[in-house]
Amino acid sequence: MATTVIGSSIVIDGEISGEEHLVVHGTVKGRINVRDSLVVENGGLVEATVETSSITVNGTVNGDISASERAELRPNSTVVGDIRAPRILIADGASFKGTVDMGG
Amino acid sequence: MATAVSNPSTTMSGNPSTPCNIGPRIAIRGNITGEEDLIIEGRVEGSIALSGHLAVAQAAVIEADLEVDSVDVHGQLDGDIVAVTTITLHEGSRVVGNLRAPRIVITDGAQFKGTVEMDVPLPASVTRQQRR
Amino acid sequence: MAQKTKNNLPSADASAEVVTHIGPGTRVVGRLAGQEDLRVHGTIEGTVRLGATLFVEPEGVILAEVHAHDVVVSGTVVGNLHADNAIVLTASARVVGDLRSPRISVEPGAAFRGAISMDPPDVEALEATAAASRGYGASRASAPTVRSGAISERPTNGDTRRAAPAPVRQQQQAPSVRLPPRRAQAFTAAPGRAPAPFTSPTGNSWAPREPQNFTPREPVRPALRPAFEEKTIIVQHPAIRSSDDRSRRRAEALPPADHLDPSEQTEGGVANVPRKKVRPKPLARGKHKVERVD
Repeated sequence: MATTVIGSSIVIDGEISGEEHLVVHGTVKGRINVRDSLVVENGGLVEATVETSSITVNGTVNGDISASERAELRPNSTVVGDIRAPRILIADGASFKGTVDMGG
Repeated sequence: MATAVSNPSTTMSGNPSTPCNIGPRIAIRGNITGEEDLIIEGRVEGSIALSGHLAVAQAAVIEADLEVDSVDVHGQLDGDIVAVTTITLHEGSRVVGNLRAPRIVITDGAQFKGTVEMDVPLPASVTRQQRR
Repeated sequence: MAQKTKNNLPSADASAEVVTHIGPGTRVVGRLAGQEDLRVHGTIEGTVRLGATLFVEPEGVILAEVHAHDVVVSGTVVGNLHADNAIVLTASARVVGDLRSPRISVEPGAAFRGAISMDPPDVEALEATAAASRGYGASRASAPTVRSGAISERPTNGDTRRAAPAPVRQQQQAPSVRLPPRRAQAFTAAPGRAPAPFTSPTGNSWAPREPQNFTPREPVRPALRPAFEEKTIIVQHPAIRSSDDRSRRRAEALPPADHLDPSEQTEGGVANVPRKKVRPKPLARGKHKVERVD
């Protein structure tokens, strides 16, 4: 499956939608709606409402996350917002502020 | 004043090995029409209608609208170009005017100012928004 | 940074070290800004501001205003492209919009519709020096300024294009050298000599060119018959009948046998006949309309 990579110097202010893996090294503000997985790399900043199948955060996310499979917050990640996913993994060292909803 | 003679009743030699050549020290003011290839190295003001290939040499200065089959521009041109097949602007050419042809080639190093009209087949998924 | 060819033009198949690319199934709507190369296989709508090279891959679609350092288009772009260095349209490019860049290269096979404007100061100087060198092309040079202003006045390029003809126009009006009368001027082979100043009654002895209306019609062949304007001297035997003669003969209301001197009669007769305006038949393929925002 193809991947979309947003480089570290890229700033997107708008809406990203797609059916592929998305890897964010840069900044995205607005909305993200990808059917496949989303990875926010270290240094990446997402200030957006996120809808994806699975999300892995190494960077910063300010916004609500809605994952249909799982959401993973790695160490050194920062998430401010609500997470809604059936499976959530918050690693040691991650900072998180918001509500968690694992209900179906 | 220069005369542009194109007489259909006279059989032109139409020899492709020696195309008509307007030399660098010739200036023509008027309309040129013809049915064979033409090389212009001098100055032309007016209009050119040619059903053949037109070559504009590096030293040429043309202030005319062109209606040709195809044209290779190496010199200076001030006017619109309408071609049936191809318009080619080569390096060192300086063109001001509008181009219209199915195929247009602008080589790096050409100076051009104007509009270009080709048939642009856009994919169906693209909603054509005229962002003019 | 993308690998450059020896012409210092970005090549389409250079491999970028920092790979930022929009995949084929991805659609970005909004503003995109960055300082690294970007390869677009998907769709971008909105605006793009890039301090590096934008590669539009063959399946990429850009519906946006693009400002980049370089742009290499192999896909579809509907929108204006501004580049600081070069714009390259490769063989699979399909572009509708204006190009603005110091260097532009349209490769064979590219399809493009729009205006091209290269670095404004160079073009201004180019037109000024070119106009100064043509002493007797003064009134003719004023025609393109009218034409380029009338045909399209796009807000993005309007200031650029109108700025370029303005100094040319001022230069022409100062010496006010007009073209000689059509038939009185003897043909001279020395191109540098300016003719005696003459003000024709219409103020412009060239036929005033109205803005060309390119309405799409069937494919055109350039006129094979000579364009019947008054400047053309047609040597023709009176016995030869052609449709060009028909209107002339009708206007003169004389039997054709009385025209003993055809060349002289042609010149005299044409002045009475309403001039046949040979409008260049535009070339059009396809059914889309040509729209201009005037």
